[in-house]
Amino acid sequence: MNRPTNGGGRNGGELRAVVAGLGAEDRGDDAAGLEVARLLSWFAPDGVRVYALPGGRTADLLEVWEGAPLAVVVDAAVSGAPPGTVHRLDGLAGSLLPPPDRSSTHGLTVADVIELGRALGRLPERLLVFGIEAGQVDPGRGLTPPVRAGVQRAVRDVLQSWAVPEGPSTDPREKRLAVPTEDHPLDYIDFEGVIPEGEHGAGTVIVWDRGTHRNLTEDEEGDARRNPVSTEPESVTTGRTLEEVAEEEDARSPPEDAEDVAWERPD
Amino acid sequence: MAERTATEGTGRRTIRIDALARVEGHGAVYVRVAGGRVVAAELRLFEPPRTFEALLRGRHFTEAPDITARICGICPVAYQMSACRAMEDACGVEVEEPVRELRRLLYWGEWIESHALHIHLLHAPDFLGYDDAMSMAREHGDAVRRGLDLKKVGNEIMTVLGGREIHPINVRVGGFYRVPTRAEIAPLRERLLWARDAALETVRWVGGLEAPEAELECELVALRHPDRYPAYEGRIASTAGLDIAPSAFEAHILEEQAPYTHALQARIAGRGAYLTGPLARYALNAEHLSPAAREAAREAGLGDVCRNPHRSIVVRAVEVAHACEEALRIVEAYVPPERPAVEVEPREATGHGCTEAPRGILYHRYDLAEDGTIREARIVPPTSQNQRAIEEDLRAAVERSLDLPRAELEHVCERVVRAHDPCISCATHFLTLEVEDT
Repeated sequence: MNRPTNGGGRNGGELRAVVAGLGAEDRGDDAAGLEVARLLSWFAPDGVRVYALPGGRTADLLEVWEGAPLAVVVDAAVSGAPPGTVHRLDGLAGSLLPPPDRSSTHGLTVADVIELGRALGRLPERLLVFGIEAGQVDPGRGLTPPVRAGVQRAVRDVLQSWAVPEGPSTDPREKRLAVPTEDHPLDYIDFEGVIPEGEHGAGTVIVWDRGTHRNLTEDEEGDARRNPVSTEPESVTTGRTLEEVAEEEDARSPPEDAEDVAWERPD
Repeated sequence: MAERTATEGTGRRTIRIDALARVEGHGAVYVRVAGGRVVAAELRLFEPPRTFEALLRGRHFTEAPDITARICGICPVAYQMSACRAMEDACGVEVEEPVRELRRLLYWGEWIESHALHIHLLHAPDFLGYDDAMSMAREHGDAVRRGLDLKKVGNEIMTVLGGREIHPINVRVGGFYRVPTRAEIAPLRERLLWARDAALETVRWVGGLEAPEAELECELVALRHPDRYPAYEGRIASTAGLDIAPSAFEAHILEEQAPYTHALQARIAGRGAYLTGPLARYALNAEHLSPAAREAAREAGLGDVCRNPHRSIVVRAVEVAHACEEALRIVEAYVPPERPAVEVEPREATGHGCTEAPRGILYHRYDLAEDGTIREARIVPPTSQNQRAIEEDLRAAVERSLDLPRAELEHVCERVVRAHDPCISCATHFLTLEVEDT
């Protein structure tokens, strides 16, 4: 049993997909897949399990994608494209090649593991492979800027945020204003602290909740996403923080209609 | 995939096998034959230079277990255990026995995981005539499945104890951050009962595989403990009479840089190459194997000492059986320790830690400042210790096989290296793509 980094989706539910990021920490851009897993683990929706499998753990894919209708594997890649390029491939179509010199197998490559899964009947129904083109892979280094950008594109670009100046309400009947902020880089997803007076975004930052967000008015490409005026959250999965707060509230006085603890759209 | 430069007809030939398949990380073998003799046999390890030793300088002593765990995705527990033991040694702290039992359990999990992968997916194909595990799996699916399921049990132990199965985050200097409840440990029992039987089945399977003849002549070095098969503890002993405390490691073992490899090579002062790992552990500690593992070793014909590197697959399988039995013993007797860790106060001191990683002894030494800042770190992994012995073995194997056609000779070299399971740890890894649909 590998344990997903996100607890299997916050509210459990039927397994819909598995995301596995592969790579090596402290090896420059080789950490790209792990970084994607780390970021996604913050806001993967219910039923989506996210795993980070560092170097040498490629064979664990067979274990983690067991029974998943969809598996998504993210890894650093080399193809000659500019660093940061995000490749997307059908993992079951046989288009993955082993490394040119078979030089760094960690035992097995992703292509090997797919073949092994095929031979043993241990493949997911669908398998998507994302490769993020690497630049430098020096030991002791972090991601290079183009690859960090690629990582962010791979997890859909940006983190959309709302500020809730009064703090969120745990009572569904009480509405509080939520103001869309500018998009933040994903690095800020776990930022909490005090931004000093006079600096951009001054004040106290508390991450109340994280979740997925879909704009009901967006087109197929999601272009309307950047129009904050039309933003209407279709769903924001509740995070641990709010849930815990809500449970405490519930324990004291159960609200009459306690089904939802969700954010209302800005009035 | 091999790149060859051949000078046919002159009696000289060079075999360069770049990129060994199924060996951890980056590596290459270089063998030169002239006039019917092997004039060079080199194992080139592209291990990243000792970045981590530099990275540790200036960090707090409590950070070493987690930082060094990132050196290897296959044996993070070994790095954590050697780091913790070295720090506890420096600070003059002895961890309590119930916590030591939990650490042993965690370590057995890593052994099961690492050995099961090597035996079933990396090494066995050599004996059965397959190029890789994928082709072997088509005809020996049951064995491969058993290997994967055994590996999974190792992962489960690491998940319960380590907080997560890879790069466990629950280990700290002085003990653990949190110890599992009995209810959390209990499900492991059922799994380990299955795993023990599966491991014994694997011993029978690999015991019946025909191995090429080979006899290692070098000294075998392993931890030795008066009443345990060593993983977490012991003195450093050898078949040539070495018997030292871990703190004497650097007085007896010298490391040198060879021009063709990034990894430092070790030798015993005044003697030379030595081998650490399963063969050495078995030679020095076989009497402490669990009863079922000992019996399985006997049935597999291992004898008191096994010096055939190809038969290391059998020793690994025996060690998996032992690890399962020991893990089972710990799980069945488990009562949560009263406290998960003892307090560790830093002091200005030097500490040494040596434990048995799946591939052999892993030595850590730290020099601490009064406030617990790491002034200097020294890490000697098993593969750099084994490098010379592997090269000697390569040389002997090539000399025995000079009349073989080149392709077969290359295969001989690859087999020798794989038998030793070098962890050329932690080279970068890549997915190579044929880009069509971006």
